[in-house]
Amino acid sequence: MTPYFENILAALQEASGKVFSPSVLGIIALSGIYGLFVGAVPGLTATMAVALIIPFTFFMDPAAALAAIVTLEAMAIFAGDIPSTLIRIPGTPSSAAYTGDAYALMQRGEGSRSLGVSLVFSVCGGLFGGLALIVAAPSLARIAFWFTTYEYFWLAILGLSSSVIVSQGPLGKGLFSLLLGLFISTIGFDEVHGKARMTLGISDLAGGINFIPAMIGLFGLSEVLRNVLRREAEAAANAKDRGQVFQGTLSLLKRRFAHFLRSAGIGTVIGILPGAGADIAAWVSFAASKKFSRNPDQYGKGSLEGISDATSANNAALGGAWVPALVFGIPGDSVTAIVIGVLMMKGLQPNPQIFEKQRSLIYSIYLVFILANLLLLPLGYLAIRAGRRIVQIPRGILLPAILLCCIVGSYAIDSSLFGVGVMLAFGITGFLLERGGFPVGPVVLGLVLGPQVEKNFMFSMIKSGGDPIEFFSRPVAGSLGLLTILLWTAPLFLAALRSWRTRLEGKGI
Amino acid sequence: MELPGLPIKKTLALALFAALACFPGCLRNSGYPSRPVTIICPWAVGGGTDAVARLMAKLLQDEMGAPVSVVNRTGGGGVTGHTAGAKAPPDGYTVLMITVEIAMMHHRGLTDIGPEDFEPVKLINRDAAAVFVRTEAPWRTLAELEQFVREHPGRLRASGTALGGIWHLACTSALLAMGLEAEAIRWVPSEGSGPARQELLSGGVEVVFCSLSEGKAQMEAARIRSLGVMAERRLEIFPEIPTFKEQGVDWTLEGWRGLALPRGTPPEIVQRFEAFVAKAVSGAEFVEFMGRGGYDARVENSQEFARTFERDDRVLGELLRQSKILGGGRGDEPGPWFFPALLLGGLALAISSLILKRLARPAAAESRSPLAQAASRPAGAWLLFGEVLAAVLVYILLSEPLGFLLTAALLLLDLFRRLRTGWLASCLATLLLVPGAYLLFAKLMRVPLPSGLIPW
Repeated sequence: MTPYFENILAALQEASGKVFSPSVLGIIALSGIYGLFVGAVPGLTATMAVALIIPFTFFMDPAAALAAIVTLEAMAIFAGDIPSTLIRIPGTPSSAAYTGDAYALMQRGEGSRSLGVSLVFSVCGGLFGGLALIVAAPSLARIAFWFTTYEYFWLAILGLSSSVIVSQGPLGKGLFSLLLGLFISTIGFDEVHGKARMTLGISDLAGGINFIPAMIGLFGLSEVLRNVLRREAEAAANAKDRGQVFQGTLSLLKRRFAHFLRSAGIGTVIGILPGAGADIAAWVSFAASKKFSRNPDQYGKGSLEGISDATSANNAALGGAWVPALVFGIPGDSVTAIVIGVLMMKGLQPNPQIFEKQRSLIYSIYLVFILANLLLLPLGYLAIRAGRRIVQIPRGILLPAILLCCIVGSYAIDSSLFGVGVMLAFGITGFLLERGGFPVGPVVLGLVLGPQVEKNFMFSMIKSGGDPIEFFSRPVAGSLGLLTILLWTAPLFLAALRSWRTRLEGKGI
Repeated sequence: MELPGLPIKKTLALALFAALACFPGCLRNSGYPSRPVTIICPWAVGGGTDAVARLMAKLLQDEMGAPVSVVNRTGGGGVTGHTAGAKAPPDGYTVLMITVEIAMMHHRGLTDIGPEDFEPVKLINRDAAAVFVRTEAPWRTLAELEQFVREHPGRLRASGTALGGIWHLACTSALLAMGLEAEAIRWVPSEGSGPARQELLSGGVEVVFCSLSEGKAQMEAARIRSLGVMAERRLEIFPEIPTFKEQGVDWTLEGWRGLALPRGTPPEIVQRFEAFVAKAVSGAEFVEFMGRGGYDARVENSQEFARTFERDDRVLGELLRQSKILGGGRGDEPGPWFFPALLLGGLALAISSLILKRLARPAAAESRSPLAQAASRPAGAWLLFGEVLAAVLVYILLSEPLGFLLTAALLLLDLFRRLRTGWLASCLATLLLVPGAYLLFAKLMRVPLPSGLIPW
């Protein structure tokens, strides 16, 4: 055996000794439960939870600290699907893309099946992202360098386009919702020009509209409002859950394995890109899923295909985000920004050499990525079983309890009653929008991506001195731009082609 | 399930509120601090200010014997968080992690809040500005970079923070100190130094101005180099980086972070808090953390901090005027109303096209009208609908004076009853949900819920 392999084996042995020690296993189990809880409570995000455990990580062994963060994140992103399915409030922003579908399945009595799909595909997606990190981190990390403001601009536009494509109902209504979200995102202090816009002198508005309270209002409060208007008989009809958690999940995985690979791949790449995380990954993957699907009309009305693809992508993004963080010290998302801080605190420098110098630590991160995702299966199953009971709670108790959840969740993000006000306003907006047949998902995406589109556009224009040519002349930017334009014009071309063909047929040629 | 007779209900409800009132009071002690303390951090999770704020929260919690939590009030280029800190009740329970931007924002007309709105308590660390280039960049020294800029004014692009932020000022003032135009390097705003460094690595800009601690990771990855730091002398933690002074540019510029209380806080509380902070920063943990993170820990007491405050307010205000960055962007890009106007136009177009479609098929639309369906709902349902909205409003108005526990209990009890849940079940559910939510959020997740009448 070569010394190189002996080194690797020794490091692996050391790493597994660390990870499989009782204390680290205990930390993994605890942070797993904590992560499930944080993800399942709307308004609490994985980033918040990780920030909270930083002070504890100062006193932990680096392997233990990173194990806690990896586990917490994986659990939280899956757990966001639980309230998303059961009470239509995305637990974390990463579930927002398919909340409508999951809840629709719940109402049809297939909540358990939907959650089972979420769980199994989350686990697989997480493992895929972890494997990408293990196999190809140093080479994949270079993707981050292809991206400057031009590329990010197109990526954001692509994300926006996908939300309109997936939105249910007529295209015009989805577009309206998206534009509304984008417009609202321009409220607040404009950092490019140093001007306050539409803030009416309110200092809370200067910070802009936070999309988490907005999301809780649009999805959660609006559903409570719709529910109190519903007759009790109607409400009771959809409470029965007929399915088993893992019923048909494995065969779905087998059937859709190619789709899964595409989705997890999209998730991993978007995770690698700094500034785009699990939430965007879910949107883009969902849109791609619809484009490639044979049943695109099911999307938005309860498509297990869509859910499986989007939920694999958001968990795969987690592993992706660690790639540039470990290789170049560039965070792929907000959690890995904290991870870099933790590493440096421990005197460990994220750089390409870390894979050689700190081999045992890196291997223990790898091991935890696999272990945490495997642990997600039983813990997630228990969480689903516990969560399912929510549906059996009488409506008279459930609705006020959900309302309390909306209030506290929208308060939590920045401990301000302003957030509760935002939630209320968006609750009413969401209710009215859905009455009129407008989808609410694109509003959330507009809020998330609006600032990205605007800032990256403005930054790019400043960089080039007002010359827009670089939006197309850079190779990656140009390709992304072309892809976006094709996405928008393809339906027009197809329609033109179709009408031309029918005209030909009409002439009897 | 419903219990007959008023007295029992009354007793039940009374017992419920008594229990709620006692529930959080067990751990109360007298004097300051007698309830949780919140540190407002005006910058986002993952950044340096957040990391220092969280360290201070942990250390202060040990010193003060009361929970200390960090709340990130971000946005508005720091305006939102600093304003929240200035307008907090001056009782010593809301502390602001104040940053150098406070001495800049009001000069730029972004807010009325300025240094005079705070009681400075302690300066925690300083962050000297440094200049970074890519490792493979042709300039080996500051002088070489200066030479290039002198020969090609306006060619290079730099980034590091938003327009008018501290690192932007570092760029323009350093150029002025070299006898160059403030705009000899074009400033490309960014959302912080992280994105700026990524932009540097991917070739979007040629120079980045930020602190050495921020650039530490990529420096050690040998991706970027620092050509100099704008400090009086070399930093202990980065002994290999030369200062601007050594290289013949007599210029220093430092950002800082500190803790401050809102103006009007009673002097004895300010003193007690300062004593707690003083103990926290004298421990080995603080020194170790700051050293490892690459933060230049230079503690100043309240008087020194007040002088720093006053001096920087003057100096930075003057620099902002000299560097002509009081106004807005450079004018290469569309104005601030370009996007809102574009979007409003789009919205108007979308609405009119939808109306046109509707007009084209009025009959079909009429039969499926959701409003028509809604009209058939009983009036009671709409009343309930209004009540849910009112409940949220009542929470917004009452939770601060009454506290989370009482307000939430009142709201839940009322809504349970309106949805025809029995008294016993309502009381039990309230008793389970409200303290449960309190424990989960306030205790486990450290979200400081409104305390109101019940302080702990």
